[in-house]
Amino acid sequence: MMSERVRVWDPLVRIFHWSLAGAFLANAFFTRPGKEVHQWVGYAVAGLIALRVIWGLVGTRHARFADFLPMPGAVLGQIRDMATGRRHAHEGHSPLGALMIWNLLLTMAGLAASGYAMTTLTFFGVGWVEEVHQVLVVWAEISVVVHVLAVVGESLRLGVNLPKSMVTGYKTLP
Amino acid sequence: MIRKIAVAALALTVLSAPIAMASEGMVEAAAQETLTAQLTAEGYEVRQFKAEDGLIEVYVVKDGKMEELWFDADLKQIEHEEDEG
Repeated sequence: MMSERVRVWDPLVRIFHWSLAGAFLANAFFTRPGKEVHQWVGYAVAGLIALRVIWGLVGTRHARFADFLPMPGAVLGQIRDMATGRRHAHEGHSPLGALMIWNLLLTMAGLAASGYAMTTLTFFGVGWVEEVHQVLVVWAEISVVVHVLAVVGESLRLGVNLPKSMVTGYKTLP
Repeated sequence: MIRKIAVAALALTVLSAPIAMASEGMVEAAAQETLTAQLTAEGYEVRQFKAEDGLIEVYVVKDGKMEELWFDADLKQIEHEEDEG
């Protein structure tokens, strides 16, 4: 069977993905909470999310939210594929992948928002805001781990190098 | 390959949580009461106490200004900066 090389991720999607990953990694492990560097990285995350939201409305085909809305039926279909060994590769986000993207976008937005709140007069030193921020960090870390494992797992299951597609922009579909 | 990534990823997750919380702790109620009374009398609004770096860190607001004040075990105010990072 001929394989087909399809352009799926535009440069903005790819730059967004790796910038967000880098920013999260930096603030989760390397910068110190409460310090300026941590705050600037947080603002960058907020800016990235804002840009991505606009791009989700006006961007290229697979970048648009309309292309990866949460679809329970399709999610069940993908799980059935996994269980029955049927291979069906998706051009854009897979249904389960889409759920993870929404989860990560919302979690990162929540991290940026709660982090910013701590620097405002209203929420400075308010315990529950800090707790929300910390719970979101743990949730984001778990999500990132699941995301990476799923991407590797799906790449092997489908025979499509998904991490590479987020670098080059192209998926080679069987 | 998958297993290696899985182990590395899980290790990072498990290790990171304690790092975030390790240096923070509760401050004794008696110390909190004393400091709250003292700082309130000085016009501060006390927001939160934390035990950090073996000291007591107090989040306060005064005249719309946010500050972190530091006290030692004897409740003496001292100059202290968290490690830059």
